[in-house]
Amino acid sequence: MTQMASMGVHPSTSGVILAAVFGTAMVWVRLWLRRLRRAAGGASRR
Amino acid sequence: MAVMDAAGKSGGSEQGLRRDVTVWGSYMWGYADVGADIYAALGLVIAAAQGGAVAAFAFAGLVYIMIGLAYTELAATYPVAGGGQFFALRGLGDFWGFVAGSALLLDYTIDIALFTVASSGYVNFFFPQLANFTIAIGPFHNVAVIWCFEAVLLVVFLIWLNVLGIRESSLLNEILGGIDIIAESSIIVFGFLFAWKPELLASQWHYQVQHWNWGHFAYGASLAIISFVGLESISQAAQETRRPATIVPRTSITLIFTVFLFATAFSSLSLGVLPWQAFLGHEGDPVAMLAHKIPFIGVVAGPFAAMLGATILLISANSGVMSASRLTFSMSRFQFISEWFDVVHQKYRTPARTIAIFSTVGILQIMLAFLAGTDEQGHNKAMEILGNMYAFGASTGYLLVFIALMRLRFTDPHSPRPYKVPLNVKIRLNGNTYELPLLAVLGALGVSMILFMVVATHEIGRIAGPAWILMCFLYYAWYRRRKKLPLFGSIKRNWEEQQEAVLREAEEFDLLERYKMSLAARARRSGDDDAGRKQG
Repeated sequence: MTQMASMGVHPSTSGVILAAVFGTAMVWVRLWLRRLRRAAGGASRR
Repeated sequence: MAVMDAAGKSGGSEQGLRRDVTVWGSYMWGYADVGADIYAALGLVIAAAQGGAVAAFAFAGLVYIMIGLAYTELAATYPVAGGGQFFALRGLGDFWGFVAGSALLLDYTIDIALFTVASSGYVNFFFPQLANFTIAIGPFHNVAVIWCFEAVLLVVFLIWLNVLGIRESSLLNEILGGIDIIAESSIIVFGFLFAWKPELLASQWHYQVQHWNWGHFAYGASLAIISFVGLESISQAAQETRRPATIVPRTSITLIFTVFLFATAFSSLSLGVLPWQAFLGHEGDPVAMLAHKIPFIGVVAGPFAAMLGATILLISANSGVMSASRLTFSMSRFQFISEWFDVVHQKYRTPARTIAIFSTVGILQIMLAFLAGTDEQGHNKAMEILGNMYAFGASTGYLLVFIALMRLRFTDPHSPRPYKVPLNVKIRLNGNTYELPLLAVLGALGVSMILFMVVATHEIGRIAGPAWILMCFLYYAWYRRRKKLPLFGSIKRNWEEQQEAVLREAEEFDLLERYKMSLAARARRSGDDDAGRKQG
């Protein structure tokens, strides 16, 4: 944070929280789709 | 009245459409459309709704969630190609099925036109002199012929790709879509971390509330709904998805979640990084401008966002080609348009004729849009004209889908529904219990408001949209009269046999069993009633 402030960048607390929420949600989407793909794998007809 | 064997026509014969879309492919098919919609819509919506853009996106997003859930229920219950057109046909009959089909077809052809124009626009970021090269053609001035030619070339490329087959196009969607999701996520995460100023967002919102303008908000919200067109694609993919009843609800809900997240994140980020005025004149590249303002990654953001825009817009146009061809394929099978369209290519087993014809309609739309030249400030009007027509088709089609969903709960209670739109009210009628989906009632009201906003505020959309549907209706009337089929009435179809065939072909044997048991229970009840009447 101090290093970023020295570069003129001041992250806001709400920005950090929003970035964390968004990042977590996207990771969850990826994991969910992978799980779904495994579940559907047994139905492959080829 | 003519009788058609719908069951025989929808089965998965050797000449039918292939089922080889995977979970990731099904998800990306929808995302390919929606991700690019946000790219194109963000600047337009901010320019229209100004400081209230986040509210416009949120309103349109809530309506979109309800549309998405309605599509999820219908696509999982009826996993056949056709999307909204099929649902309207099934719930409301031939005529309304045709109206929904023609409205959504308008969207797909514009999808092809708008996104190839936008994609080549991003390519021209590297060669600005090409985009700015204009000539006069007769009475038309400032026609950007090279940009127009580039867009046409991209459509021809997509025709070639799609005629080869679903696997090739699906693979393209998957690879490019995956890169774009990572890149967009990076822009949002870096943006929130290093460039977002909550006080800027709050002050813009505060000013907007003090100077509220319903006209601006309505125009913005109706444009925002165009950033959510994509679920139609996933329902179109339902026929080509393995285990549709299991996969479609989950991929659809994941897609709804992702898209809502991206739309609200991008709009909140944009107005927390820049004042809305900064987006004026940047309707074509809002994401590139936004990325450019982010510290650390902003240095390479210009060319990077341009490449990103070009790819994601191209895969969205690709989704448009696939969906338009599959929709017309479905419409021909239900005798809304000639069976001539209903021919699968012998070698590639794809609906090659519909791909070529409706992509050519997209090419014509591109050419007509470019003839409009530039506005007073020198900005090209092609994208604005195409975007203006887009929302009409979407809101008309979605309204019919909501009505069909509600009616089908009453007319077809026996089809197993692996997923149901939540918030249902139980109603008892003639000894049977039905469930009225309250969320669909709300959704129908919301999408009606958006349709009203389109008619009230979109100067080109309110004329060109109905004109397209009228033109399609004239063809429909001619075709149905020639075939001696009812114009406003419906062809008698055996939906129960068809539903059994669809479930069997999809290998959803559990659902098939449940469906047969439900029909048998109904037959028993009706037998008991008959016996009771005889005894009485």
